[in-house]
Amino acid sequence: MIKRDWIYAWALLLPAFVFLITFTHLPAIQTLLNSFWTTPKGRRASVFTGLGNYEQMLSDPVFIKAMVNSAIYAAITIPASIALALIMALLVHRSFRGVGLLRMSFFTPTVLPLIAVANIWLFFYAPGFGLIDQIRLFFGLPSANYAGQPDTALYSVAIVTIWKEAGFFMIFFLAALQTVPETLREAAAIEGCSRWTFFRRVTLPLIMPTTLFVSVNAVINAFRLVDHVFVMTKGGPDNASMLLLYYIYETGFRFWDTAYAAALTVVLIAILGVVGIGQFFLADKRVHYK
Amino acid sequence: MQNTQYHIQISSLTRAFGESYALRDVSVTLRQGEFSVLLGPSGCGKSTLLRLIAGLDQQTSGSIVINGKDVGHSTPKDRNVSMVFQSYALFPHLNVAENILFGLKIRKTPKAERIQRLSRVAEMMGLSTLLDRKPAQLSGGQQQRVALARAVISERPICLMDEPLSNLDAKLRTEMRVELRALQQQLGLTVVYVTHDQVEAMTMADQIIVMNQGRIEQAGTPHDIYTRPATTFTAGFIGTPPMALFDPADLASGPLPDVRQPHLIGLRAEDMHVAPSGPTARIIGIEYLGADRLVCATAGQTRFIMRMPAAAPVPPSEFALGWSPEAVSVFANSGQRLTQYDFPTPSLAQKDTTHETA
Repeated sequence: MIKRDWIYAWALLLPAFVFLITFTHLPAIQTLLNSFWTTPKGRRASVFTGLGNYEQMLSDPVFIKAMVNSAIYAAITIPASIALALIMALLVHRSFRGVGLLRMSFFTPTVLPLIAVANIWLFFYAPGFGLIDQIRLFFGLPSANYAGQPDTALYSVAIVTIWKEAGFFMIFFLAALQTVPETLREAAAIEGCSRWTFFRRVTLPLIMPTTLFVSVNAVINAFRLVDHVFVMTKGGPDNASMLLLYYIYETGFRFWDTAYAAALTVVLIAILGVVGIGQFFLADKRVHYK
Repeated sequence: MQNTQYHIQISSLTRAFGESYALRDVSVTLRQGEFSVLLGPSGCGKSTLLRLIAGLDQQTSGSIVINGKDVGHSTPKDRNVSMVFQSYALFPHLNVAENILFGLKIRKTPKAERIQRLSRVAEMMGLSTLLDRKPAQLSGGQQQRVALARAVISERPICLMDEPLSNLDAKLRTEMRVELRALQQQLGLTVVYVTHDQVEAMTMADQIIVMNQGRIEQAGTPHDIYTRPATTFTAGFIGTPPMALFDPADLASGPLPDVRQPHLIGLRAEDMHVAPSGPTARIIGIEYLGADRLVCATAGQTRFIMRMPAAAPVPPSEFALGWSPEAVSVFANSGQRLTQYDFPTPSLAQKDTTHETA
């Protein structure tokens, strides 16, 4: 009887299992293995190099640039998008005329494909006739090319990410805020608790599980969302907006150095894994789960 | 000074939501050091009244005067009241001690005083061993105590309670009733207590304010409310079973006052008995309750319930109904009590001593 249950269970799991193994687990293992070998060329078969690909990274200026850029990019987009999402959620967590419209407008960037978003922002940034330049010219400031200048390209890409992500995270915060019982607010009001103190002492701790979830997502997205880099800057100018994942794409599918790309991928996954697990363990003590 | 004598004065208080009225022209005085109970069916406006007193809601018109000061437009914290919520409203991420001390911390009470007050209140409420627990690790009764402790530690003279016992099981509720009343007496608190449970109201109150459809039906001592209901609503709402309301024609052959207008006769279940002669009643059914028997019967067109000691013989299926003339309540057809037919009894003139504790 027990044996039959097992067969039944495996049979039900099988389809998902097959897809997961074929498209996730096998490629992951294959990537890890490839990263220890050289890229096969027309005349020269792949040879084992051990950590050769990883050593190459240390002396690769573009890789180092991409790592630094990714760190800056993450350091800007993660806190900014979470803070903005929370502020927007607090704004629309009440009822007034047009709250539905406001919620929708906050959420719209999430629905739009990132490629389309990037194109919209290209028009904002476009020198001469773009929205931002029109405002600058109106105030008598010189024209600026935000996405095309090495010192601003990374930030202009980061702003698009924040704009895109904040609306998505807002939904989670809004849902979390709505689970905080109204009587807690009333009990605090009787005690003479100001709105800010209530937010800091009660609301914020109570929505911590959501904040943790959102921040894990924000970290993953900081490394994962590069679609707009393709449209806006292609990692340029002079690698100014080069991000790790975009560099992996370039290495793997433009230069066809697949072994090196595999090694880069392993590094990316290692970073994400460490950060994600670290967040959970660090935050676990301070998060109150119901 | 008259103002210090009357703690909460409510005049012509109205709360409207668009076209519908949650509270309509309510005036009542809740006296200092008394346990006042707002009693009524759901939707009668009792919770709205409590929330207006607390400042959690704004009245449409009327005034609330606490200790001589009009607080009708003040924020909740300026009204110097504490409140116990039906859901307890404990902060789930804070432990018992932090929950109790929440208000004191907000008001920046010195730490030494906080510790001292906490240990005193925790001792009083029997929470000393639970101070490190989170609310989720407490039973319903313990959570209730924490909510009470939070109100008590504020040392505010007025405590508002919104159905605080309704989430407890029956046994615990009975215990907490006694404890609440003792606590109120011990601390000399002015308590305003909302409930729909008349047993809670009868057992704890100095003053019961019976409400219905946004208005006050009657305010008085439990004894007044029970024996001399001011309206047919109160007569039917208070008492288990409720007061029986007879068409006078159905009781024609009994001792009735001489009333010259269309009216109803109200009789409590325990004020009726089997008599040698009187109007005929027909039994529909009998419920045995151990100490008592509830006899459901009809007299003429009126159906009523009569309470009799279980030791008394079971009445025959048709019997003569008797009652004591001083127990009769007379109501006009509009529902208002006709007080001119009240029987003057010395016991009613006395102060209500139902809940006095030595």
